Amino acid sequence: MDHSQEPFKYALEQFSHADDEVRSVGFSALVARSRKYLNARLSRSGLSDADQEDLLQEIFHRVWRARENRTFATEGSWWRWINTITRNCIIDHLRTRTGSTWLDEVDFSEIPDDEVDQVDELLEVMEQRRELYRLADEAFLDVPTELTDRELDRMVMAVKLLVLDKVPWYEVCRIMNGGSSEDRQVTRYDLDHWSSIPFIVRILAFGELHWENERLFIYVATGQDEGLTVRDGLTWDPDEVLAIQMRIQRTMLIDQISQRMSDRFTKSELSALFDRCAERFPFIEIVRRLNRDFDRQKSAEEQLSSPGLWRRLIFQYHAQNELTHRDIYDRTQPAARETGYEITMGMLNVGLSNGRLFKKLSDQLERRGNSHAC
Amino acid sequence: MPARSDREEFSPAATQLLDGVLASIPKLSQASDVNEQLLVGYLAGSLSPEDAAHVESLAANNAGIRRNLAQLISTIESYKRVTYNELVEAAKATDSPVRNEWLKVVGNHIEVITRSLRGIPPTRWTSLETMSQDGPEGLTAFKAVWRALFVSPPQGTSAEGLLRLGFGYRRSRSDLDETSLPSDQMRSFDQVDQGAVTLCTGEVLESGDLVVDATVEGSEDATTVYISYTKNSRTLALAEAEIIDGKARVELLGFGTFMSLPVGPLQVDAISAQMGGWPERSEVGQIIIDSGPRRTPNLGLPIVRNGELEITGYFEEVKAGAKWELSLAVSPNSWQVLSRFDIKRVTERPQVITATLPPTAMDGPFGGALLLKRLG
Repeated sequence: MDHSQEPFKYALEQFSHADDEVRSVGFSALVARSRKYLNARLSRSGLSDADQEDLLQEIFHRVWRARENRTFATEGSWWRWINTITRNCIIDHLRTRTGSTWLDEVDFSEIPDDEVDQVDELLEVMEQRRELYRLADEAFLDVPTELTDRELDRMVMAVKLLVLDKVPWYEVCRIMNGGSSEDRQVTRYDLDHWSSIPFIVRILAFGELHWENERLFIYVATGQDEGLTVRDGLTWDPDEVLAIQMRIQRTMLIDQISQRMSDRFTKSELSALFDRCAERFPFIEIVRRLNRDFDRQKSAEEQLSSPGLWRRLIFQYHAQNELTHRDIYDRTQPAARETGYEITMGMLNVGLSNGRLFKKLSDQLERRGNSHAC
Repeated sequence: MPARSDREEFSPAATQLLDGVLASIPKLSQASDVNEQLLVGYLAGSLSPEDAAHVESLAANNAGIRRNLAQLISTIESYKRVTYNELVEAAKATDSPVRNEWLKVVGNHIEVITRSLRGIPPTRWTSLETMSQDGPEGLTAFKAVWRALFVSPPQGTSAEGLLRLGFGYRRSRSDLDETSLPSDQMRSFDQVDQGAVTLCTGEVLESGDLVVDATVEGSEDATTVYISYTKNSRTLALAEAEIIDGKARVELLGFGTFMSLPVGPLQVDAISAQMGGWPERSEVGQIIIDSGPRRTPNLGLPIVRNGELEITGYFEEVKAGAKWELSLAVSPNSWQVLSRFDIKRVTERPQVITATLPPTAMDGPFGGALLLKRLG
């Protein structure tokens, strides 16, 4: 091999050598080669600079520790291996930080060969949370891959101003055109067109129907939402409010709450309390309001009952809110039924427990890759 | 390499791994860190693309931010209709964060354009392009001038842009020193009565620059060749070059890139040749005049002197006269009224229009986009 022409391959050869002295020379070259890529990868992880530096050291430490009997047929196999080590380091670091104890070490060797690539790619996306949700929007809500985040945000912002906030169209244009850096201005035609695009309707509906735990707790407990009084006549005593907070905001199970508040509530009293809470969930009213806001357009009704919308919502509650299947069911089923779409516990158990949602995301990732290649 | 899985779902091991990672990764921040500065800047169009995208991302998901924007737009529109000086006086009397931010938008723009566009008039593409490279504020100021001129056309005008080539004739170099001449002698270029271009070619270079080569015959008086751009009845002077031995090359740095022209020769009819000096409006900076059905006033060069904008002009108003309003394009989508005044019973006498500017305005010729409108 002409070492001057292919220094990377030569460094891999050296790293695979039996002699540690030769290995260390190759290792130094590979560290220098990989550092820039790893810095960029870690900078996207959302960790502090200090944590990133620590992780970088840990990664190279693990690479050196795992050097025995290691060969690399191609440059790609080196990147693949260092990616795996990087990901495991990030996971271990986060686990240490969150104190999670659920995780057994899942070695990639336990995963079937024909899944490894897909899981690998999906794991990288999952580390970038925003990217994951964008992928979910494409997979479930049919958001076009080629639409940039900014283009999508502008369309959603404009339609929400027009349809939900009831801002006159000429004012929506003025607001949108103030921020535009492009020569093409938003027109009334654009607003009319955007508000009838199916994926825009679905994204808008998803945004209205997905509530953070804290927001839902405040609404159920006080009748207030984002500073506006929406509902009167809610009266809970302080213990009930505390129990509701544990259930809705902190997503504790009834058994856990019952243990903590056994001097105040029986388990059946808690169940009855939380059933009353579920009756106060705003989601049915939101669906009805959306239908009214879109002036009962047939196309809007179709989008509200589309399976993609509800699967997107289910995925978000699972991925972001970490709700149990039962909780997800309580927050989605009544509103879905209002639109004509049925959700059952069986569907949730099957869809969430057997990796179908992840598989759908992974397939979308592959479609993205194919469309970029084209 | 193993074939990708075509099963409907992942194996339990893969699902367990993915579930675990999903649970361990930090949640997406839901921070809504916007303040008046960002919101006013967004509505004014003066934010960088990154900041504007940030505001839009938050507004797309936060009803409160959208509510603020809808409330602010009306407030800012009201500020634009009041003269700048009245806004300043109101700010001294009562404190309003939104008004203060709007005044900063106006002040920053005036500072940037008076700092950048103080070259030999009229303001040309070269100085605009240089300003656009001067950070995000320079780019915003550039867009404000360009859009004011070309993006908001009056009714019934053509939308096509046109490159024009013409001749300049200078009496003397001292004509270029506009500040030393009385206002009624501020005519730098005369019409050339005899001149002909026998060959004119243009090319967009790889660098994005546009170059125009002209061969001039039949005129010993023409000393320069210039290029201007006309669209929607408005004209911007681009650049000029001296004629040497019957030839001239006009260079427009970055113009090809800005106009998204393909690299290579321009089409034969892409540049129209016309006789005459600089188009009338571009002799005096970028002033758009909307005088309705009445005769347009003859304006001199806008000058900043001692914190005031001065424009000398010949109006033809008899009897009752008319009200006029002078506005400045302060952002890519906003005009701020600078002053309002009456003109009555004046002909053949120059009138000096003045408007107070922020303290940050620098003295010298003024190159920003102005609108002089007859109100009735």
